Order: sequence, then structure tokens, then C-alpha cells
Amino acid sequence: MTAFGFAALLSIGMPVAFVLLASTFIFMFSTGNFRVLDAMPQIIFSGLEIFDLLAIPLFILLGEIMNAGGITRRLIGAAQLMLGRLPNSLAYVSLTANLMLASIMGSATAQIAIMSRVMVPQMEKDGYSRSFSAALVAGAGMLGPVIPPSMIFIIFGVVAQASIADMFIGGILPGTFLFVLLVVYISIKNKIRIAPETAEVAEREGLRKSLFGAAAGMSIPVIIVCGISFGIVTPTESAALATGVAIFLGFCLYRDLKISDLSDILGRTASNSALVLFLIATAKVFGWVLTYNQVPQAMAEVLQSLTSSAPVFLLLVFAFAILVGAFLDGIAALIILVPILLPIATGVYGIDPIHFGVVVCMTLTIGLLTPPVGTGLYIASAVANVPFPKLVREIIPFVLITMLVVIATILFPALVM
Amino acid sequence: MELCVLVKNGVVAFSHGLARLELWVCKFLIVFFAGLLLVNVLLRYVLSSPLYFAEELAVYTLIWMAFLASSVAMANRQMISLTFIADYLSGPARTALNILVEALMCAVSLVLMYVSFRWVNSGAVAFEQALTLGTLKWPFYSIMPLFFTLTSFHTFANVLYLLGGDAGRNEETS
Amino acid sequence: EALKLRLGTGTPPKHVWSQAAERFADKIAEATNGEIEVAVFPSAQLGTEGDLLQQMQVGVVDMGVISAAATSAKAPAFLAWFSPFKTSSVEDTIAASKTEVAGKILGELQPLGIKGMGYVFAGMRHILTAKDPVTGLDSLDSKKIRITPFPGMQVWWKAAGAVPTPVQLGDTYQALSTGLLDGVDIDLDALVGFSMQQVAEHLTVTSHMAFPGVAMVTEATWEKMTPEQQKTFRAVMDETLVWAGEQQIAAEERNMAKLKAEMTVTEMPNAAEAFSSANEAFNKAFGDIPLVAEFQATVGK
Ligand code: NA
Ligand code: NA
Repeated sequence: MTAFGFAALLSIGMPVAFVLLASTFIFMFSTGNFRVLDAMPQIIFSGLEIFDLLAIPLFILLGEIMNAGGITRRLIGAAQLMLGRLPNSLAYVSLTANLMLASIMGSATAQIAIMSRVMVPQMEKDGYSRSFSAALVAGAGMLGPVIPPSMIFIIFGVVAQASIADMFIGGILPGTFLFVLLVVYISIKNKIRIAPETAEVAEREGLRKSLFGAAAGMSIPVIIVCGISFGIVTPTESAALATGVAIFLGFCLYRDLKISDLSDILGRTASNSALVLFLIATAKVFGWVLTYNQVPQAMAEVLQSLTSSAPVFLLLVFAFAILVGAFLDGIAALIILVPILLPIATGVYGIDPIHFGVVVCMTLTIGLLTPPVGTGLYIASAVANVPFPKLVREIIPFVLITMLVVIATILFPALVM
Repeated sequence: MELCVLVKNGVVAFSHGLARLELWVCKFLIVFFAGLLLVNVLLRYVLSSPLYFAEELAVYTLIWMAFLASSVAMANRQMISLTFIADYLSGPARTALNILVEALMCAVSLVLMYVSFRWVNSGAVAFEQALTLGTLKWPFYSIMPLFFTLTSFHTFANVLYLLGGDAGRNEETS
Repeated sequence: EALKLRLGTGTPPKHVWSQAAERFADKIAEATNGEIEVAVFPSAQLGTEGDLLQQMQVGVVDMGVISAAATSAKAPAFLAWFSPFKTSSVEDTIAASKTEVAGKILGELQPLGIKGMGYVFAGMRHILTAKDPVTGLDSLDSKKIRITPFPGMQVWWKAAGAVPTPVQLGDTYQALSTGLLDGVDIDLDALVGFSMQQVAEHLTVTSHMAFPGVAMVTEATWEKMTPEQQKTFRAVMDETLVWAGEQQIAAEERNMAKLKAEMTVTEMPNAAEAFSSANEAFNKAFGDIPLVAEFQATVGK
């Protein structure tokens, strides 16, 4: 009944966040426990009571300011100077920038937020369709949590009491494999694209002149990397620090940024981050009601009754987590599923906890890119201003590529050692 | 009839103005938490004396910002939704569907508004402390009843507006 | 019809507190022939410890195993347990939990509609530092120390001259390795659980505070049980709490042996004197709370 109500409300066009609230009501009515209603405000509130969530508006703000201040233009210009000799380089530039960002940031959502704002307009100018550009950025966002540091790996370490350092090391090979596959896909995609050669050459001429500007702009990722690795800031604070520097550069060095721009920038930051944050809050209450009624636990039991082989079990977990990830936020799902599935994985099937962790974290992260509840898709769609259905169509190859990496990781546990 | 139209226009205009005010508060809150974190980094790194409560205060500021900005998005009908059926329909059918959605949202908001008010005034939160700020926590919690009051009003105004027969104040973004 | 209860913890499944919850669930079903069923939700699945307390007050969650630190946000008397250097080992703290004042502190939950059933224990608190060992207050001056964010610990550390820095427990490993943190106020379970010995060189054994948890059930749920069931419930709970205490004592020994093999472990027998100014600050801040004063007057004397 809840599933039916969920689908019905979603398809008549009720905002997803409200579908989650309304579905919680439906579930509550079907189980007859109305007390849950009294707990809802607190659960919704606590869904956002997480310090690391500050990274979302801060990185959106950073992206807005980098764009308005002319920094992004100069930064990507520099990346183009490095990779520019390749034909159709901007997709590679975007991917490489994503790889660099992945080694700085712990969360796919924050990474997708910043890159959608920064790269998509540039790629569009370079002749790529906006929907493909947004899909590339969202797909490359999968690198974020796989390549260390990684928020979801840390949370797995906490929930599973597993070594976070081992989780980080475990992500390196699968992350590299994912990067290589993305490069291959883009090179195929580039072959069938008509390139606007002239536009690119003209841009490059102008870019050489602003090499100095780019060098100053490069200080932002350097500040983020150094700030974190020298222990000056936490990853979340690094966004605030980088924003401060971006404002300084935009106002004082480039002079592209105007006081009058700030109001619009802040308004867009508020709107774009609210779309995500409100969804996180309502997904929390929906997930809570499912957990409260032991729905995930019951599903896990079914899983356990199906097989005795470790790889088959992991493949079932993979399929199950894809299904769960379609509806639930990855971190919320992780928190719910790991305590249930990990003892089965290690106790019944003898699977290494780190291997299990990398597989489950990567699979649940794919959920960011799968409808109906796909936070990564929502961010890319909202920030890059691409219609949702169009983005879903373009994202399919990226989802399949990431799934391929997960399946490889399941079949070859050596990838995480 | 004239009076009805007047009231309707008044409600819609008030919802619109209120949303603008909410957005301004959001802008201020973003500046506040970004500044707070930045100042705290400087205090910690340069002076070795960070504000112990900065993280907790930043989180509550974020929560207020997130809910107020969500309310604005709802007033402007910019929430993330799947609109393939609405896109397929046209004219009065589409407006009717939009009215149904807004009315359902208004109902959900009203229920949660009532529950939130009861929650904030209940013994469950009366003496709860914000752990690092050392203050009572209910003022921060009061965003929940405020938020659902605002969304009840905005969705109600949207229903009135759509009943007026226009094809939507703001087309949804997706 | 069976009474179906939900029990939440904020600790991971392997933690002694969650293990105790699981064991209680098994034993109570056995002892009542299935009349009482307890579903355990570990790892803050239903919410953080603070959330769980609220959910118990609202009546959607029936039972909890919640740290005294989180409970002190609702009932300040629980700060008594963080009186520095009052007990020096888990065994000591278990003995303190059997005193009359320990029972009175549990009674402070009654206005919240919650019945405190007894205490569980995590390891004693020590100081883990990334680079330099702790020899006295001088070596902690202006050092950034991660603490559990609640007033009891904050006051003590601030008075010790350190900079209490709130970092999420999950981020502590990274913060130690980058130098964002100089040290951590920690128990051995969390130290070993997060492999922090990989990024911090020195463990200074101070045993400056205990870290109890509270096993609790809502009054409403308690009233739903027959007197016979209440008696069984109480007996199974007592047996479980004794078991959990033994488990924690064994865990302390096991963790200490492991850490001694993997890092520099230094005892600090004069810790209580070395931290005397911090101890005074704690007493000044919380000594006015009657049960804290009573606890300090009777325990450890
Ligand atoms: Na990363
Ligand atoms: Na999804």
C-alpha cells in the first residue's frame, strides 16, 4: 500500500520530498501506530543535524563565486592548456578536474554540486549538450566517495567498527578502474560528436593571456588540499576558507565580481542547497519509519535464505542495495543496512569486512544517480538547469559503468586489498 | 465576488512578499554560518582559541536556512518533482492536477504544523540543552512549527492562485 | 499476545552496550516464553542518543542503552559520573553504581517518564596524543584535544589549559593524522575500534573519568507489564548488566594488551594531583547540583 501510494503521489507530480512525508503517513496508517506522528518533527530536524552537511551550501556558494568572479574560467583554461592538444578535450578536462576534486572531497553530492556549477556551462560552450555535460559531471561524481577521503567510507568504518584507513586504501584501485572506464566511454562518445573546432581555438587564444590569472585561481584547490592535509581546516571548513579566498580574488585581483552580484549568488545558493537538504531531512523520516517497522531487516532475511556462496551473496546484496538506493539516501541506507547485513556477510559467508564495505558503499553511492530518489541527479538537474527526464536518459551509461566496477570488485576481492 | 477576488489577490501577494522576506533571511544566514566557520578557523589556527560552540551554532543556522529556503521553493513551486503526467496534460486538466497536488501538500503541512507545535511545547524538549552552546534547545527547534506554518500558508495561496485559472505562477523547473 | 518492545542504542553492534541489549532480548524472550519480545536497533539506527531519549519520552521507543553524557542533557545529576578521578577502574565504577546515590541519580529520569534500570560501562577515559606524551598540564597547554561534546568534559579540559575541540568521532582518525587535533580524550574501545594507534604515538593512562551508560525503559511500557512480567524483566536486566560489566572488564584487559604491543603506553600515577586545578573547576561548575555533591561526598572515599 505504501509502495502504491508512493508511486501514485510521485507520478501526479507531488514534490519528492513531500511524497516521502506523505508516504510516511500512509505507512503509519497501515500499521496503526499513530504515536510515530509525534516523533516526526524531531526526526526531520535531526536529519539535518549533521555538521558535514554544511559542505553542501558552502561548496555551492564557492562554485557560484568562482563562476561570477571569473576564477572558474581561468582554472579550466589552465586545465585546457595542459590537456588541450587532445581532440575534444573538455570532457577529459572535466573528468580530470573531477578526479582532482575527488582526492580532496569526501562526498559525491558536494562534488556534483560544485562541478555542475563550474563545468557544465563551459562544456556547453564547447559544443557538448547540456544534458550530457551534467550527466558526465554527476557520473564522475562517483569518483568522490571511492577515491579517499570519503565520508561514506568513514561512516561505514564507524558503523562496522572497521578500520577507516583500510577502507580508504581499499577504494584506490576500484576508483582508478572507474576513472579508466570513464575515459574510455568519453573517448567513444567524443568520436561520434561534431566538434566546434573554431570556438575552441578562439577560446584558447584568449586563455594564454590569462595564465597569470589562472595561476592565482589554482590557489583555491591548493588551499583546500594544503588546508586539510596540514590540519588547518576540516574538509567542511575548507569550503568556507576557499570561499573567503574566492571572494578576495574575485573582488581584488580579477575585479569580475561586483557587490551587486552577491545578493543573487546567495539567493541561488539558498535555493539550490535547500532542494537537497529538505530531501535529506524527509528521506530520513521515511527511512526511519521503514526501519522502525523492520522492513529492511525482513528483506535481509529473505536475502539470507537464498544462497550459500559468498560471491552470489554479494551479488544479491548488490542488487538489493541498488533497489534500496533507488529510494533511500545512500548514507541513510548504509546506516540501516550495515548492522543487519555485515554480521551475515562475515559470520555466514566469511567475507572480509573491508571488501564488504567497499562494495556496499559504492553500490549505495550509485543510488545518487538512480531515480526516483537520486540526490546526485537532483543536484545536477537543479544546478545545471537540465530537465530531469533528459538527465536520467544520459546518466544510464554512467550508472552501468559504475555497476561494472562494483561487479568487478565483487568478483576480484584482491582489488580492495 | 469582488471581495473574494480581492482576498484571493491579497493572500497570493502576501505569500509572494513573505517568500521574498524569507529568502533575504536565508541570505543573511548563509553569510553568518560561512563567516562563523571562517572566523573559527582563524581563531583556532592563529590564536589557538576556537569558539567551542561554533560547530553546533553553524549546524542550527544551516537547519534554519535549509527550511526557510525550502519554504521559498514551495511558495515558488520549484521543488523537485516528476512532472511527466502534468507535462502530458494540458489546460484545465493540468491545472486541476496541480491544484490537487498543492492541496495535498497543504493538508500534509497542516498536520505536521499541528504536531510540530505540540512537540516544541512538550516536556520532551522543554529542558533539553544544546550541548556545546549551553542554552536551551527549543528556540532552534522552533523552526519546525514555523516551517510547516509557512508551507501551509504558501501551498494554500498556491491553491487560490491556481483556482484563479492561470497556468501557474512559476512553471516548475523539471 | 506478546508485548513487542523496541530498544535503541547509539553504539555499534559489536560494542558491549549493544551486545548487552541483544543478550537481554534473547534472555527475556526465553524467560517469558515469548511474552516479551525486544527488537534491538543498534548504531543509532533510530536516532542519536539524544534523539532516542526524546523518542522514549514521546513513547515510540520503549527502551534504550544511553550514555550518561547524553542523558545529562536531560537530567544534570548524571554529570556526577564524570567527577574526575572518583573511580580508577571499571571494577571501581561498577562498585560505585551499587551505591545508594547511584540509584537516586537513576530516579532523576522519572519526571521524563523514564525508568532507569541500571548502569553499563565503557572503559575509563585516557589521553591519546599524536606526538608528545602527557607529563603534566604544561604538555597540554593550548593543545587541541577532541572531547565528547557535553559540559562535564568541556569544563574539565578547558580548565586544564587545553583547547577542547569538537570533532566527530568518525573524523578523529583523519584529524589526528593531519595535525588538526593534538590529542583525544578517549576510552580504549574507541581507540582500538578506530585504529587510532596508527596515527597517534602516545597513550597516557590517566583513568581520569568513567563513562557509564544507562539502561532504561519508559514508565508507560513498564506499566503495560503484569507484576509477574515486571519481576522477570528486572531479574533478566540485573543478570544482563552484571554480564556486561564482566565483558567490559575483560575488554579493558584485552585492549590494553593489544595497545602495549602496538604503541607507547605510559602510566600516569600522579594524574589526580597534576590535574587538580581542572578537578576544582569541575567541582565549582557542577558541585551545586545536590546529587553531584552527594556522589562526590560518598564515592571513592
Ligand atoms: Na574523495
Ligand atoms: Na536513487
